[in-house]
Amino acid sequence: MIRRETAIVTDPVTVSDPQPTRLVRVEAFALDAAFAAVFGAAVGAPVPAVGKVTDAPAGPVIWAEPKVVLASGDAAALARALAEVAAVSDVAGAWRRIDLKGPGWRGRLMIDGLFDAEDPAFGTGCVAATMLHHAPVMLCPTADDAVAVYVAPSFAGDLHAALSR
Amino acid sequence: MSGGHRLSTGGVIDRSQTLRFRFDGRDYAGHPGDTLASALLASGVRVFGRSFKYHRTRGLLAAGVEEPSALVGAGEGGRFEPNTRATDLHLYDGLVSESQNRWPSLDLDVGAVNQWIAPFIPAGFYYKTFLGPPALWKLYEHVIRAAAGLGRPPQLPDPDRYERRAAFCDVLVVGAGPAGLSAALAAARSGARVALVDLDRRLGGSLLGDPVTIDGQPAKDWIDAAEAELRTRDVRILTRTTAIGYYDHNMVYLAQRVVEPGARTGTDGISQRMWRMRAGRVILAQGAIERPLPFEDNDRPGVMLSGAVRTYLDRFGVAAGERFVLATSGDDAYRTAVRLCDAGLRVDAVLDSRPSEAIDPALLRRARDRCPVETGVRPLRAIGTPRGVTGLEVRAASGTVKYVADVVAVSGGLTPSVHLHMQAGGGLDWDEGRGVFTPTAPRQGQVSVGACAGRFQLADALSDAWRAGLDAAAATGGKPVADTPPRSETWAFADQASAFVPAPGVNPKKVFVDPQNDVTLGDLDLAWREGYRSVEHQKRYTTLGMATDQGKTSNLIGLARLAENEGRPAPQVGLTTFRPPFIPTTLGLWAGEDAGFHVTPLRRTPLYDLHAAFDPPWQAVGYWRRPRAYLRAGETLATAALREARMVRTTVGITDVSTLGKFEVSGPDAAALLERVCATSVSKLAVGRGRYTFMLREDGLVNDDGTVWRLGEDRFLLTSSTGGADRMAGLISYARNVLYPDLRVGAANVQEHYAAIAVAGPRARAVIAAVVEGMVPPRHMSLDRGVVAGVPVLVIAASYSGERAFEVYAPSHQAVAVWTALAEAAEAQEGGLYGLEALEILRVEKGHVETGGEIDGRTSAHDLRLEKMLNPRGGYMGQLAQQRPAFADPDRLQFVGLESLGGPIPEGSMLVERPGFAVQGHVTAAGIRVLEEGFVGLALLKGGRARLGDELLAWSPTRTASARVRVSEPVFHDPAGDRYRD
Repeated sequence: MIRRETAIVTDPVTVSDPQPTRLVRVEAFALDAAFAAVFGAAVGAPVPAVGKVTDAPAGPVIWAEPKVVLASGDAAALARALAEVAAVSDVAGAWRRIDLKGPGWRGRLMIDGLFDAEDPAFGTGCVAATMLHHAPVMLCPTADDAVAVYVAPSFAGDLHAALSR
Repeated sequence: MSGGHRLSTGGVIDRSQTLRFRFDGRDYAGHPGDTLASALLASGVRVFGRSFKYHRTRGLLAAGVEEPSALVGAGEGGRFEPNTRATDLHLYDGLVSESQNRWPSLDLDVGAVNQWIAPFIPAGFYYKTFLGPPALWKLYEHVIRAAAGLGRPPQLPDPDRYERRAAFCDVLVVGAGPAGLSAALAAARSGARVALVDLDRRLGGSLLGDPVTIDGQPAKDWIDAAEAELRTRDVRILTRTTAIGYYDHNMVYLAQRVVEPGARTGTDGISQRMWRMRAGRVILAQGAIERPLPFEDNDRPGVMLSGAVRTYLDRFGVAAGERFVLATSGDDAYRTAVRLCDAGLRVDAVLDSRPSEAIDPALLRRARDRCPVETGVRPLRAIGTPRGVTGLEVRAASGTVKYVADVVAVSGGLTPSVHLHMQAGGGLDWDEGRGVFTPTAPRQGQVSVGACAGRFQLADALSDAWRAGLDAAAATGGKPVADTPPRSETWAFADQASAFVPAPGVNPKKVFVDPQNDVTLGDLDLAWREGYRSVEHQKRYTTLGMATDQGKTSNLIGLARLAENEGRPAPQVGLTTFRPPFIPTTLGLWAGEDAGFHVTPLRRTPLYDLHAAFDPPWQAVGYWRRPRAYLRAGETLATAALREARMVRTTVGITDVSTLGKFEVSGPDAAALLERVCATSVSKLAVGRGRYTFMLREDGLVNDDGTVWRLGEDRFLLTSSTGGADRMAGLISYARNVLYPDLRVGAANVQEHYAAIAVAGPRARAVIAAVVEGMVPPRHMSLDRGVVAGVPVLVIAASYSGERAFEVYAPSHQAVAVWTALAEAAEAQEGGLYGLEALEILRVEKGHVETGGEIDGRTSAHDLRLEKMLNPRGGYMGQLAQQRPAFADPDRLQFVGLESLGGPIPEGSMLVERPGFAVQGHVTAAGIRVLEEGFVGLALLKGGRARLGDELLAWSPTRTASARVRVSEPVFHDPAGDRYRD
């Protein structure tokens, strides 16, 4: 059961400008104990479960696909460390991050969205890949009153404008 | 007869406030809680508009969204909204409204002449105009087109916003009448996440106009208590919100009026909102719609539905007239008669078509205590003028009798609103006794309760809905409560189906079924005689049910008439399909935010702002925008493109190719994966080298093309076309995750990680040498890494233009500095920027195939002259399928070049021997020679590879352009490839 507010959310939200990221794509050759061990040692955080985000010293580690996570850090160093268990690609330029802060972020994401961002079970430590204002995005709540929206740079300008309306 | 007026007491309106509004240029006043219909009725207005075809005067028939006649235009300027039901427009201060379909005025309407030529314009008359001499259609067309359409569209841009919003719930209850409220209370108390929507401004539905008691309280108090409880239980309550469409997987579209039609918006500028509500379970409680009775001139202003008369009285405190006659075939009208009498209004008679023994004695007695009741009486015709009804002529046992009245309240039974149930794929049962379709066989677990399920008794509706609410909550994880459902008094209901048939002797040509489109019983009979015996054909031939009300009050009467003519029961005749939207909606609501600049999302390359500074003409490439050319003063697009192409052929040019698809494939099995995805060999590539490649679909046809580069022993970069980038991403993911999941490989889409800048021309090498620190420009189809303006870059030597060329890849967020450095270096070499038009001219002259042009989803590797590049070891996707015999057909469309023997070759034109002869192929691309004289093109031609030297006509009749062409090899520029090499 999920409780929710009845009214349209009008709580304030601040929308940051799109910022570059340091994301590195890690694709496991196999989701096994060897990968988990090497990944944990290299990244400093466990492999996130499906739909989850874990915190690592260099930044968030985001579950992206069944065998793919997005970590933060130096791509070349990670590639060396994970060479036996995973393919590593620098995708820092492929993502921008827009931060929404304020109690109204859930309602803001329902506008021209498809995902149930008002579900309280979707909170800090979760990630969802969905569409928002026609743009493919990843949503990562970072606090009770904040969410990070990851989007491809080509869509970032339009999405930022739409979120800021 | 003065028409309607406001009573001194009663109604749920705020009499302490006055709202001013205009209708057809005259000032009126009403109160908060009024609709435009109730306020005008209270002001004595009887005529609201004109019908579509015959321009007959139209008054109010109903009090809700089913109203077919009282359509108005609301608002001014860009906010003007035509075809708005006066009954569904809640009054606001400053409302400006007007009647429609009349000229020059509602009282004096030139179009009313159509009534006198009615015999010449029967149902389907416009179809018959096609039977006459074709030349006459030129005449008819203008007349019919001028007459088509109802209302006038706004002439100015809409200043308001329309929002689209997603929402989710466990239980969605559609309709907040007694059944809906009961269901919502049960579901909410059981812990479900509930949404309750209603098209009205306030909750209560039919209870707002019905002085009944529920749980011992007056209905209005019970509504208030229910709403208060629902709000405390966090139920999402959306008023002025209509469920307009029920789609698969319990997706229900809800149209919300944030402000009334034509009204100014609030600070957020939002006029309407479209909710896309995904529900675990849906409970439909939409109520029922009363049917009118069939008699002559039943469309006169003042002929109203009995329930509507009661609603105006009890909800708005408005008497619809001075003297009332009620004609009915059932019990519900008795309630109206009792209420009118109790309000001190004059009811001259209740005229019931049933014999007295068929009527509940208590009901009959209760009415007769207040007014005369005649039984076994059937209405023949409404008496009156275009300004309104003045009486009713009926057939009684004693003969024909005339009653004086300014309101004839009619009740032909109730039709359950099964629209959403049908949209959800549900079936219907026919109840012969009551003449109604009731919902059955829900396909998505939807439940209909109350009147829309054919349960007209209030007590039944409350208890059924309660149970449905508990069940829906349980189905979505809630715990049903043990409370008892709300209880109410009961009324007798025994409506009968005989109301579908007019009394003997009534002229069917004067009995209106669809008062908006002026469809009569006579029209339905004519359609049937002319062979339109399917209910769907009858609908389209007569336009019955095709008006803005979608036949809410008329469909069943029309169906019954067809069944009668066919001599078959109604269920065998069938029912037309109810499609979304349930009520008319504005286009703005569907568009949402996707209007103006945001009509589609805009994908910007990392260099977009630099291009935009030149204000270039843009080319839409999917959601991307790319500059077509960088025009100088006095240049046209064509001259600019030719200048830029010549610049590339003679010095150097740079262009933004960031939109290309790019994939980084890495891992021990990277080559193995690519040899399955690409149809060319890959594994033999040396590190630092690249090659042209193409990919097949599983059916053997070419999917896309690009280049593949070996960045390291286990690391490759694969590029593909802009248009095919998303398709390639899907193909690679499919290959990686579905076909070959065990490969030790990763495949990353790096399309947006890298910006890409092409540097092309005889001096491209000099530009690279000048800009990239510490690099000897790599030779053709080789790569190297370097630094430009402090940014690490990857430089690959590949050419699309036919000149020595490079592509410089840089992280997208650092690309601007790289572009700037390259542009300055190119300028120093007497070069500059070039756009897509020049790119196209260059590639056509070089004979490169392009995705979307020659790679059109129908061509094979052989068709495109690529078969020699196929990997001889095989093993790639599509290999087996391309061995199908059809692929060896010599008459397949094959890739060729075209040399013009005259002027420009029309792009997209067909290739023929002569005009009118069989089409042999088509021109896929064409352009001017860059440095030489003449025009060339590329084409797909039947058996083209064996037809070099043939002369054909490139013919475009739609553009009245043509050119004689000679079939040739497709490479016109540097066939040996000497210019690639230093």
